[in-house]
Amino acid sequence: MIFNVIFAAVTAILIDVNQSPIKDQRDSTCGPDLGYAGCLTEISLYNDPFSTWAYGAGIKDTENALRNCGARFLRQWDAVKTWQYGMTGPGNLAHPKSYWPLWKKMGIKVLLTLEHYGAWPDKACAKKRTGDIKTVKRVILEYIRWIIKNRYQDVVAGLELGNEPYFGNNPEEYAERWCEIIPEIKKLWPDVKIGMPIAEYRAGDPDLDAVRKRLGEKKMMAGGGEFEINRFNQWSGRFVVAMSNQLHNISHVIYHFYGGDAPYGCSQSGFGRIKNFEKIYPQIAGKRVWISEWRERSDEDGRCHQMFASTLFKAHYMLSCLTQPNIDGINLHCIGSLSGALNISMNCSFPGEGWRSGFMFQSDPLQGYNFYPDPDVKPGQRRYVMGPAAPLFKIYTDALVKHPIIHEHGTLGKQGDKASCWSSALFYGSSHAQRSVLNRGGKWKDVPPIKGNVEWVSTLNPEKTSLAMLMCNTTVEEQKIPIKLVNAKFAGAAVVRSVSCEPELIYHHNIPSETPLWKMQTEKKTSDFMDSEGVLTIGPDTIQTVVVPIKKIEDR
Amino acid sequence: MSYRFYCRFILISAGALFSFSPSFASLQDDAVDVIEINVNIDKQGSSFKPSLGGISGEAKKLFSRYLFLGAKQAPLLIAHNELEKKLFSWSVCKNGKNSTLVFLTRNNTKRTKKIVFTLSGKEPLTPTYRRVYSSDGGKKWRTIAFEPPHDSVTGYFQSMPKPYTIEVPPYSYQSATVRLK
Repeated sequence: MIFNVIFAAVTAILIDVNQSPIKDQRDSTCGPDLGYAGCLTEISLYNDPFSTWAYGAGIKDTENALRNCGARFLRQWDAVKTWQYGMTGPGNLAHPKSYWPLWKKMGIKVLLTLEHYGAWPDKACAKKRTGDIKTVKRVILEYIRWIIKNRYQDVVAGLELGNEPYFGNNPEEYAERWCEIIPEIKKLWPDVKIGMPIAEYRAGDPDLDAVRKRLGEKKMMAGGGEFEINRFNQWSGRFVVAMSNQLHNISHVIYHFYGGDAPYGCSQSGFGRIKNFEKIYPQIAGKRVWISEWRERSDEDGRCHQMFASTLFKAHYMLSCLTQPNIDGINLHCIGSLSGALNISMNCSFPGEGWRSGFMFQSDPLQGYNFYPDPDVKPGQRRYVMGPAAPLFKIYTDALVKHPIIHEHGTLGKQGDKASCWSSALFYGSSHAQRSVLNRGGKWKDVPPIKGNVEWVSTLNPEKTSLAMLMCNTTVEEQKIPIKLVNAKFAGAAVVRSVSCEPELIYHHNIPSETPLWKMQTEKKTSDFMDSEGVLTIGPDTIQTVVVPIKKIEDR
Repeated sequence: MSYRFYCRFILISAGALFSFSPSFASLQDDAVDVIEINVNIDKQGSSFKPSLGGISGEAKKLFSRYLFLGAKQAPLLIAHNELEKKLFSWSVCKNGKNSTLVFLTRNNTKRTKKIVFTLSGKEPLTPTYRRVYSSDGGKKWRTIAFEPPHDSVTGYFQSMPKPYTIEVPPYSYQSATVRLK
């Protein structure tokens, strides 16, 4: 038997439609706020110029894939370079005119990460890139003008002032260059949201370990421990100070959170770190937040995200982020297989072996790539296959798009201020212990109990005529939770969309191109919601949305 | 052709059955048969000719996909045996770079089999199972593909835990791909 620890007896959820909401996603330029880092314009690895297919011959496939994986909010790294080089093509990078119209048509929002390290001085990108600030500024402003001229402003969620610059050494110089560019951007586009990246690490942060492996020890400060942490945290503090005369133009601070265990960023601890930094640097207090990269671990073998257990963690974390009044967009790193979203079958070239079609998963750098053959395509054909994270995003973002008012949050038996955001960390930590036993050949009857919970967020449409419950159940039993409306009554059948996995398969890794171990279901429930009372039923290891029409009492 | 490997049966009676899915619990013997083999990765191998002979109906249709994929991944046969009046057979194939093994098994008995293998010079990573199986003695067939649970706290897949074991449920046709490092 598999046991779980249920933290509280089941008590009714109370939804008072007149209650002040946590936030309104219509105020966010990133709505529905749950998104992915990456946008398929990245130049592919493994010698496949994938983006030219994705937004060229394969654009219909891409449109379907983006819809099916719930991709309504994306992020583009190195946006200026991607635009500049793409405009010369198509070469091995998609032309901007091939993807911006699709994003606009689909209503997708994109966070653009600008870099000011260098630019091509010429339109053909034939000359050597230069770091000359006048040239860089000119090119960035040309890009901004291009966005405005083509009326793509409504696609842009905001501009990021670089990707993780805190691994550099000179925050004052970094800030000085931005301080020269930002006022010019604002003259062209006064309303654009601009975010500044902040690092706020704790000892043992998994991302530092991953970056150390990538850069090599020489490039990182020696010493480790608190000394190393302080270097990045101090960079951030110095950056804030150096940006003083432009902070009025900064709307957001940006964090990258990695680590699903309790001390690390993808948990309640992360929210505490944001507040903590504001206390130390009050000049950025009150600014809104983007978490433009997150994941429960850092660089790793992408197969780890093919477990449904990873999707369950993500659901908990996403729900907890929705409940933070100051957080707008969050981007799971990334849209590809690394996060369990889109598995992409590419045309891959292997030295000495020629080309093969298959799925490439980022892997342990010591072991090379992980390649899964794709037996269902002709040689050279490319396609998308949904990974286990895709249906989570699909059902949550579909509900949020129509229900942008984030109303209340709760867990089993608790709601509002009484409900914590620790569910993701507790589930994640207890899953290690279960997998340890199973990996050694143990049986399910021997695994320690999972510390699961039911977490939910209630959302409303602007007219308050529809309620959407976004839910996640990481207990191993079906839960029936009473729900009571205040100042409203249920007014019709509920549509329940769920994605679930058998509890004994949640740690099995899905294989791309084979039948997934999880399943999606949509059903209509006509009798569970009557008058002002109802019952929310959610199966074990299940993520679901329940959308039900409601009627405010004074409208009767 | 002589093979530089050996196998022997050890019958083990176990009170509980190790299984990756609860659906295997229905029509099976509680006993587990362990087959020990030594895989010689340096053996030259012969060209593997995949055959669906002896399999019929839905099982044949479903397994052909996995069999031919396995053959493509590892086209060189290095070990093979048929046991129990051909009700259970296994083949071990490798690729030309000695970086991939594929264990192909057919188990038409109600007993679980475990292939415990040894390997020198290389370490096997977590296997990818592609399995056609029946929970009702062969009337209805289903497929499942997965890599089994892995203790990947760091996110990096480590070697298979020892002893290196390929699980073969009752009434199953299976391809287990094992990458080597």
